[in-house]
Amino acid sequence: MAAGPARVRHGPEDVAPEIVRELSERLGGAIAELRQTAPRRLAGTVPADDVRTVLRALRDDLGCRHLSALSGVDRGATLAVVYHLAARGGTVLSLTVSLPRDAPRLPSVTEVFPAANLYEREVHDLFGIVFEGHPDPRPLLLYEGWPEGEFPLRKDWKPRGREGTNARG
Amino acid sequence: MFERLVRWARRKSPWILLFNSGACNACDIEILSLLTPRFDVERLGVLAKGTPRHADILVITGPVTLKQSERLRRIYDQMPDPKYVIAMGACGASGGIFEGLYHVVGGVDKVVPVDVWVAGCPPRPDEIVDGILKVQQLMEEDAKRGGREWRRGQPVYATAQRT
Amino acid sequence: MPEVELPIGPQHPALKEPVSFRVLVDGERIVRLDLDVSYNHRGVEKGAEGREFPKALYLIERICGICSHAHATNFAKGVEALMGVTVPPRGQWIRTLVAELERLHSHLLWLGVLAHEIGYNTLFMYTWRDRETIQDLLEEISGNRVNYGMNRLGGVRRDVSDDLRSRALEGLRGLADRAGFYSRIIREEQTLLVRTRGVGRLPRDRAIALGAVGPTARGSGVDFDVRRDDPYVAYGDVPLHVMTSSASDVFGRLEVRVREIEESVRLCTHLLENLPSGDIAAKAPRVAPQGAYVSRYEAPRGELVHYIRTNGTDKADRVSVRTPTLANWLSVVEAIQGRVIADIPVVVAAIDPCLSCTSRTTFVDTGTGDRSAMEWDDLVAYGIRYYREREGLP
Repeated sequence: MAAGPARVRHGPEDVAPEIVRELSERLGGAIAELRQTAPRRLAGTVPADDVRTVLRALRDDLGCRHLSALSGVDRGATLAVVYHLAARGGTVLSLTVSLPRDAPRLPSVTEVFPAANLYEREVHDLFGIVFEGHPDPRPLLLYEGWPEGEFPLRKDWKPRGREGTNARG
Repeated sequence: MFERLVRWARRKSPWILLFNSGACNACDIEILSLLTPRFDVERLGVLAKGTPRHADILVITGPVTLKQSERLRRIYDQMPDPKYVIAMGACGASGGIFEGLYHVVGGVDKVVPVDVWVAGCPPRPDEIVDGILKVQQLMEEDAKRGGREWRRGQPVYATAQRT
Repeated sequence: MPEVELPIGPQHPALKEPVSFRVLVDGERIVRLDLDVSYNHRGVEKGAEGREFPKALYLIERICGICSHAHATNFAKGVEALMGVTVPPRGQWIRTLVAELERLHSHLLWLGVLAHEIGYNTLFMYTWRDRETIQDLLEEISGNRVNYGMNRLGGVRRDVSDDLRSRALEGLRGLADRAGFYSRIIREEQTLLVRTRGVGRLPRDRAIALGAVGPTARGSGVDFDVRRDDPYVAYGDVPLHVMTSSASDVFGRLEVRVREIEESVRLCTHLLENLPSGDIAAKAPRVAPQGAYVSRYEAPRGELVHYIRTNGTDKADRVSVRTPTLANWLSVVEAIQGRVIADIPVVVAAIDPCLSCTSRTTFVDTGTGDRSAMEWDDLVAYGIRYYREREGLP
């Protein structure tokens, strides 16, 4: 059993541009609109049907083994799921999947990233997005008395009842 | 005679039940600080008890989330009389900074009657001790006047309570 | 052998927030642990959308009272990135100082709680007494013992005087000794060793796959720390050592935190000794342009993520928060499998959940359908008795 200090570094160099090149080489056009948005920050978009394949490739071929977070977003015309993957050099790659408001469904990625289990349940609670194939699609955050079909983080959701008396959104 | 002894024992050694109704934890760790050497509230005879059936004072942290609202009421109902409630911090009073959020009731006294509010976000440990001492004073007053009924006539009581 | 379900209900006698577990057991052995984390959900993310940035900052700070500075700093620096605001060096260093003081108070708090859960109350008292040194320091620096409110958009709200610096350095010297003491204690104290070594094993690959972060992951040899890998505030400019352990069990998680206590004391000393002069804040505009940013922070419990989207107004369009505890729950579920009921308090405590453990455990016998209740207190006491009898511990 060993324990001890790891190497000391004084700030890694930004390898995001290199990663953009690698992604283009290895994944072709699988990630659209791939661009650097800030130091150590990349963004791109992926079609809903391709999420599992792309995420698997990122995990196995590009060493992105850590899914930092998974966010739901209401963009008005559409909903979206954004996967935030930790790449090397402290880079975060955020992949957005656009979904129609009236039928927001996409494959669950729990097979590829078991960590997504709780994150997908949360996004479903808050936005009503359905993750097909999720092994345990129960509510995570909202209590048992919360009415079905009410997705509070949607922009058009209105609070009602006792919790809404002073609601500021 | 025995009655007076029991009242004295209860006053001298209040047993506290802590209930977190969805708090951020700041109040809870300041309460816990009371048990540790610097504040050492055990010398006042204050003990934290795990069950409602043995508690004199229910100390509630948090704004009361929707999830905890019924449970809080149930715990309160399980406590035998005479029982007292301390609502901690800004959250206890009105829901604090969480007032109006969709999963929050917003204020302990919307669920159970409150005897003492301790202000702060979070209140300091010494302010919490002050709150406990105020409850002890209330216990004495109530004991002298045969119960809590005398408080209904007090203007503060009438305007402050929402249950 | 009939499987029995044990729900562990939502109220702890002494601390923190509620969470509820359901445990499926086969005799003494745990088959599966299930959790309910909805007790603490308030709706903060929605609240942040409706509040101007400075007000949202105060709301987000109170997502967690133990790591409030983590949330506030992470949000502030994310919004600053979107606004194109650069915090001056002195402001960055003060943010870093408070961040490390917070890590110290949090780890000492945790060590005391762990000690309490295994009946080692002397250690609980020692750590919380030492923690008061940090609380005093934080109060002097920020004005509050908890929920410091040090941040404003553009920097920090209060400066650190030279007088305060010298007193702080003195306090830290004392803490350095205490940290050394704790480091020795955890390797020598039988009670701790028996309850933590070999308990709650989590191999490195599983820790990564399950999304574990912070000391929970580093205790399984995962060499990831946001401060070093994706530096923010002053971390890119100060000597930082990331602590890992290959033990991959509760002891590994314990060892990492104790070493982090020692390292944080060193960091705070360095920060105070080398604090740059200058302004503590830059002016921030009222409005943030259209954009999106992933802000990351190494909170005491691990990687904290705020995904912030702005739309040219004075409010965020979306603030998506992923707390380190949410990232670590699956590791508890996995690490407890095959262990005995007596290990539940320790394996749960080992991730340092920013959710308190609950007091009422409901047992459901799946054979008969009978229900009965147990308090968390009793579960903890049961664990202490179990190991006392089995190992002859005091």
